[in-house]
Amino acid sequence: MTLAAPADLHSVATTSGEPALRLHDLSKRFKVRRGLRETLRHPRAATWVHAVQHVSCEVQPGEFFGLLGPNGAGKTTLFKMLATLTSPDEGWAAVHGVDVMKDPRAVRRMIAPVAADERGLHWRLSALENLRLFATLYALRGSEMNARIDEVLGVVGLRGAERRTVGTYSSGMRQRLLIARALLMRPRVLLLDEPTRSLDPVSARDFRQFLRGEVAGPSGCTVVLATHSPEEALELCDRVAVLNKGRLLAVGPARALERQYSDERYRVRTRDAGHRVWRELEGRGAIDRVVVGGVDVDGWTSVECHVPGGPDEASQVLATLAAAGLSVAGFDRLELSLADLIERIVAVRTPGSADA
Amino acid sequence: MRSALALIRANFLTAASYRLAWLMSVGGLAFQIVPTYYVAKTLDPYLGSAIKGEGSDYFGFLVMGTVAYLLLAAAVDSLPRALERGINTGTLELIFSTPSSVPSLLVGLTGYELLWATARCLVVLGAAAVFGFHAHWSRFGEAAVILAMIVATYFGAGMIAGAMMIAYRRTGQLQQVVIVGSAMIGGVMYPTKLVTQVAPQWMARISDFVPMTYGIRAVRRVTIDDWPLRAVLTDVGMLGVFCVVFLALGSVAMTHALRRARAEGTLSQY
Repeated sequence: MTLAAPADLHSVATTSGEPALRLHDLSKRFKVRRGLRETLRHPRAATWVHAVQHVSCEVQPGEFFGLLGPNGAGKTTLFKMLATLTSPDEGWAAVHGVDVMKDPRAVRRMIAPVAADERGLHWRLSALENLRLFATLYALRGSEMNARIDEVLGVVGLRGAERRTVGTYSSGMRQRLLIARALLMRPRVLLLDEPTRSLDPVSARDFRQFLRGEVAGPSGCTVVLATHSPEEALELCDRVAVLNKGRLLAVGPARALERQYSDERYRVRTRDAGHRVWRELEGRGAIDRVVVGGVDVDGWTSVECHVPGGPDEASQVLATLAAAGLSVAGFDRLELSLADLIERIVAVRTPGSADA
Repeated sequence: MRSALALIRANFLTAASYRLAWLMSVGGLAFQIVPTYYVAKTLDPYLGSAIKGEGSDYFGFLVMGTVAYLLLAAAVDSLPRALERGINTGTLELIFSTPSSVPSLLVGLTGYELLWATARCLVVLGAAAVFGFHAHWSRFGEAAVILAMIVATYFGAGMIAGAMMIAYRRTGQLQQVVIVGSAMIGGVMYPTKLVTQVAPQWMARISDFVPMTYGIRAVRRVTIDDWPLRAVLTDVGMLGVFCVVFLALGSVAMTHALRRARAEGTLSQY
């Protein structure tokens, strides 16, 4: 696992050869539009929003890489800089060794951005016509183009529906079509910006399975996924990066980050929430921050507590409860949700926060 | 080039999916020739002397003016409208993220509108022929060259409007100013000589700086008065100068606007 402050992030790359993505000290700021009165009062003043600040990291070929962070963290700006749609103010980014600023057309031959926005499709045209248009823009020709279109339609499961106009598609089908369009040119890097944003939970789950099974694995391309969804990051990503206010706060495997930032809370299901052994355990510091929940229909009560000593001490706590004759139906470590994880990393890493 | 053709095809298929609007725009244009014919016949006795050297009757003068106007409007307006549509639908950013070159994308975005305007011109000419419009059809090859130069010249103005659309999301009525201005004082619907008789001198002088003045005069002389191309070389030369200047200005404006949009990250913002 790599967990580092931005200055340490250069060491993330470990394999030999050119990384799929290399970002070095990448920064982007945007001028804030001011009101007329403010402009007249201070004509030369300017307010800036730092969308991306000194981000450095590397993503290896074939990796499924997650980009996590709250709204306004800088994920989309980072994507747009990689897709050559926005130019960086400072630093540089390279896709398979090609600088996004020096040779943007070469970068566009390797990288395919997929926005969650279904508006990017031509709704009055069929899926086939949409794909034909972009296949031509990606310089595919003749029989190669037709074969590739047929192939990607099969990959995304739209074969048979390709002659329907996009306007008649469901949201899930449109998302698949967006992916199909991006896959046309056999991208070496696929940028997915919140691909399940407009999908219901079941469709989102199916879509994640499709991404892992059909997109990342077989094609071997590097996938960078910007998401708010914890499930998505845990299910799909080899590593995740956490961004907040444009700064890269942490990089590493999602589960490892979760372990690192977990606060060792456990849930005990018992019939004896008021037993004296709880006070004894608290008294000797084995547990603290005890929260007793309500009694369920079967008469069992959930007790949540923090075990500062970690798993070893937790086993001792369980042994003590059993020795005291308590009825215990469950003793589980509470997994930190990724949302909590982001919150905790942000709190720990953000300068000036109480936890920092 | 293939990228441009693919975009033209997609725009054609999109437009054709609105079948009723598509048919009505052709039918309406053909029908429009009826009032044009009668208005022209009514005004012919008064304007006959003023249009000497640009056609023998006012109906023919108006028909060629209508053709030039349709092409002028398409050349100026098609690019900013296509860019606005692309921004609003979210397709612009996506096509700019493909490896296709910017010039081919711009041509592709506007090509359908220009071809459609050309088709509409043919409908006007066909309908006018039914009403007795006499033209030297053998000269239409030469006329097509001049009309293409008019389109290229005004496409440069359209590129400036397109650059404004990319940079500011609004064009500030630039297209309307160019289209209406060129039509009013460029001799599209009445001869520029009339302007010099009524309007102040400075206003009449403006028509010397309107590319349409030279373009439409050359087209009428070639198609209606049967002048050979070499006889209108002065007008064609002036149009050529305007063409180079407008296209150069349009290219600079578009390059600057795209650079600015990339720097400010506003390529796809509404």
